[in-house]
Amino acid sequence: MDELLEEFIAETRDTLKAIEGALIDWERDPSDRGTLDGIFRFVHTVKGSCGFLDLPRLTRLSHAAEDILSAVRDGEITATTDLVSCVLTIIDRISDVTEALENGTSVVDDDHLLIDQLATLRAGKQVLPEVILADVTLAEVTQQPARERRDAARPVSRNRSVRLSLDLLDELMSGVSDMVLARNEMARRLRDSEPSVELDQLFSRLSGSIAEMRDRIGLVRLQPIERLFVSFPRMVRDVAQDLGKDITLEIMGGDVEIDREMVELVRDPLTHILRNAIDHGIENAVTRVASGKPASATIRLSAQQAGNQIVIEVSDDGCGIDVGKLVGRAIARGIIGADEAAQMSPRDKLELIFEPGLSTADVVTDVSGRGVGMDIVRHRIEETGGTIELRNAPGRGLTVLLRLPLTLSIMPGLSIQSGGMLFAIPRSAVVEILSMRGGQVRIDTAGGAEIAAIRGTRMAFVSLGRVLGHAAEEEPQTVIVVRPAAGRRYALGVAAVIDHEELVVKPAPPLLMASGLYAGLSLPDSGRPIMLLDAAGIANIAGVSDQFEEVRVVSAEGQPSGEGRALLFQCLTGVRKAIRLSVLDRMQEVPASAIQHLGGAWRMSCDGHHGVVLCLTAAPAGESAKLLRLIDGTQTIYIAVEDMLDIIDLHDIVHAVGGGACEGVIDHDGEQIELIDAHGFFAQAAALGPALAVRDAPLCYLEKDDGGWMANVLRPLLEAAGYRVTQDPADRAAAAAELIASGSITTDGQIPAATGRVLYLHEAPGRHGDDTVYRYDRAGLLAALEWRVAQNSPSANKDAA
Amino acid sequence: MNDLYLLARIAGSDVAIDTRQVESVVSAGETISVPAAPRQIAGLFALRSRVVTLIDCSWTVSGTTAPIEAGTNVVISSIGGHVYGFLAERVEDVVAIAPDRIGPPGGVAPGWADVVCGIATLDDRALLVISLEKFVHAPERIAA
Repeated sequence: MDELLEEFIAETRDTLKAIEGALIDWERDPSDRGTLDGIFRFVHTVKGSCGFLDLPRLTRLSHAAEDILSAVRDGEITATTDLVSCVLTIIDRISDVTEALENGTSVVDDDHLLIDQLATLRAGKQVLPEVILADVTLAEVTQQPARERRDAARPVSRNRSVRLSLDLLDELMSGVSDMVLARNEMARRLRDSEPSVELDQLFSRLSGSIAEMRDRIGLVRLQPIERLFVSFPRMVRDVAQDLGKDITLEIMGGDVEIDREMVELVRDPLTHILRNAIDHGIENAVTRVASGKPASATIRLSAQQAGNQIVIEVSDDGCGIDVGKLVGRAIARGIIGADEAAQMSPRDKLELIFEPGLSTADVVTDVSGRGVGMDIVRHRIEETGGTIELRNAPGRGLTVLLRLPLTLSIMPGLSIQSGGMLFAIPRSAVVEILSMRGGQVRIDTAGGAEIAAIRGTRMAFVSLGRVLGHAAEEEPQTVIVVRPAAGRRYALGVAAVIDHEELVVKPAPPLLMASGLYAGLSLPDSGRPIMLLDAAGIANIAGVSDQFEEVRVVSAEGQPSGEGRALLFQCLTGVRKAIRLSVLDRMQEVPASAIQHLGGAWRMSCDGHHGVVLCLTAAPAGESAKLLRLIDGTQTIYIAVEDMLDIIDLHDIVHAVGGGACEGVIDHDGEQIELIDAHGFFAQAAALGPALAVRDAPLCYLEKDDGGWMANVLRPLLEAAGYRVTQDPADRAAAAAELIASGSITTDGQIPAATGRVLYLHEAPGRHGDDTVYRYDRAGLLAALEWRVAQNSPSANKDAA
Repeated sequence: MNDLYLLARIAGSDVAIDTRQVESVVSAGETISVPAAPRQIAGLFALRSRVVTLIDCSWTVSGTTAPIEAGTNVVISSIGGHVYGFLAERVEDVVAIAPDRIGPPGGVAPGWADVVCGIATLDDRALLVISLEKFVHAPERIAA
């Protein structure tokens, strides 16, 4: 009999979990016969079993629920939200009583109120649950027998599944690691001793099964993520109902397996993300319809395994994050400065959501919007060795991606070398790895502290060798940008990054932890112990202050003028050059498609800006191109660059002699850098022709000819050279120069006396007279024209008059 | 009943270690040093799948570091959930010592005072009865 009871409890619990989703589907679509049938079957089964097991309370509850569900099935009444709420309450009660039965505790018996409520609903009245429950007097609550009683003293119930303590699992795992290490050692010995084929085969069989066993034992810790997801439909339903929103939660990938401990660690962050989506992400129905979306919103929760990571994705079709508003709040709260904000990448701006105390919610609700949350969510996720990523589509929704390690006991790490020793650092703390030789990193000493400048951003620099106290200090060859779970980013200089490793991390003895530099230790398959570095601890020891703000060099340009400073950049050819900040208008990145080769030059047109692009020999590779924008007052030109490196102070400029587009040479950290001559670039661009004719450009008169050569062939050349052109004899007098085909000269071959502003164009090469030029001698023609214009500019004419 | 003691030579003195503290005696494997660790830590080595923290006992008692060579005897003990190895010059034997043969510690050198919990007399030899745990918790010696 007791076994039967246990079986009933276990079965009821399992079925309850299974139908939770069905209940919500049913509420969404009360006409769905399939889900209704499922729920009906459940209460029916409970009722049947209870009668058999003599559990009157559960019988009453399930009977009431069955009654009303049956009425719905028969079409006597329709399922309203109230009705579904009532049925859910009853099912909750069934669940509570069942649990109490298992634990030997009690649940207050006010079941009759619930049942009355159902009866009222059935009679067709609309009842709010609160109204009824308010009528409950204390006496009524207490007078009922407190628990579901059974005659015999019940034994402590047992779970039907095998329970294993995590300690035992850990011991098993460590035993298996032992075997792996022994196998590795044995493999080495065998290789040396030239074993027989049989022995070799036997060993590889053993080796294979050990490997398999290690994989399997890892899986023992795993369980379907369904167990985490199963509580969410109800939570989403409840919260959505509180807020008066209509939301469907779609769950996918519930069969993906995840570490048991991880389930508990991500439950809260995930709940928070979902609540945020419901409260902030999803607009109210009116707004949704107005913006062309269906009134009913959808939140998708999915899990998938990608290699040794579990990717959990929460995406909603709400309004997304208003980045502008977020930045505004951040500025208002003093988290960032306005100038800093102007220089932030869209991604950095979006990530402001993770700043403590920042929220875009206008109204603080019960659910969220107090500005506590996303920072803690990120912290929690990173503690597990995972990462969080946002994909924001303003107006269309937000997707939150959590990438979690498959198991907690194995942590992805990087093995790094310093002072001839190997160390490991958690992969989750590493933002980026840079080589010192690539020229992207520069280490400066300022006020006794070392500062790394990485692509225009400055951050504290810490030499791992120095922190660890290596006697022989070595030059760091590689820089790792590290972001501890809490605290600022900094650059860590190491000798080399060796490899990516999956580490089984164990706590280190207190004597080793005392230094504060280590987070634990690990024994990789090599059999050589390795210490796991603590990114935050290193920052503490090295004195990387929390106050040390990452300084974005570009925004630090608050000084009155950038005259004495220059931007160091890398040309597309790989050469490093510098340009004075004073001529630099801004740096921008444009889509590659915005740059085209037109009219003999590369030209950029994007967002209403256009101009000639210099230093570009071929169409930009990749999707976008980085440009420096220079403005000389009227003319805008762009210089294509590979990358912007740093801002440097200018002193000791060795002026160039050769001309070209080089103002001089500066010495920068022992490297000779060309300081480019903006004038030269403007001249170069000017030679390519102004983009638009200028209003007060000199006017040229072209004589009309029969063949149209003047209008069709010559005119564009002159216009490109910056002249205005007219063929109207009325404007002839106002023109600064006249161009006349020499063929139209009087038939006697006499060239009329030069007036000083007429230029004759000859059809044949060679020299024909002072005022004559071969009509295809472009340079000669333009030079002669220029001379005439200079002599006869409108102002000069006036003076003469 | 007499308790069993492991007789060993540590930092030039004959010592007796209660065998209940001792898990095993092994030969030191390849040792990895740990930067920024206290001087009494000689390094780490792998003992099967466990990582042993090697304690240089002579640093604690005399302020001199002992050389570690392949095959150096290491007394293994689990303390507070971590595995420690204690460097010994020599490990002799396991003997039974009657409680009444162990007297209070007195007159031992200052370095030893932190780790000795008694003095045993065995065949006219005086043995320092040491507690391995105290090596792990001994105050860090300031380098002279």
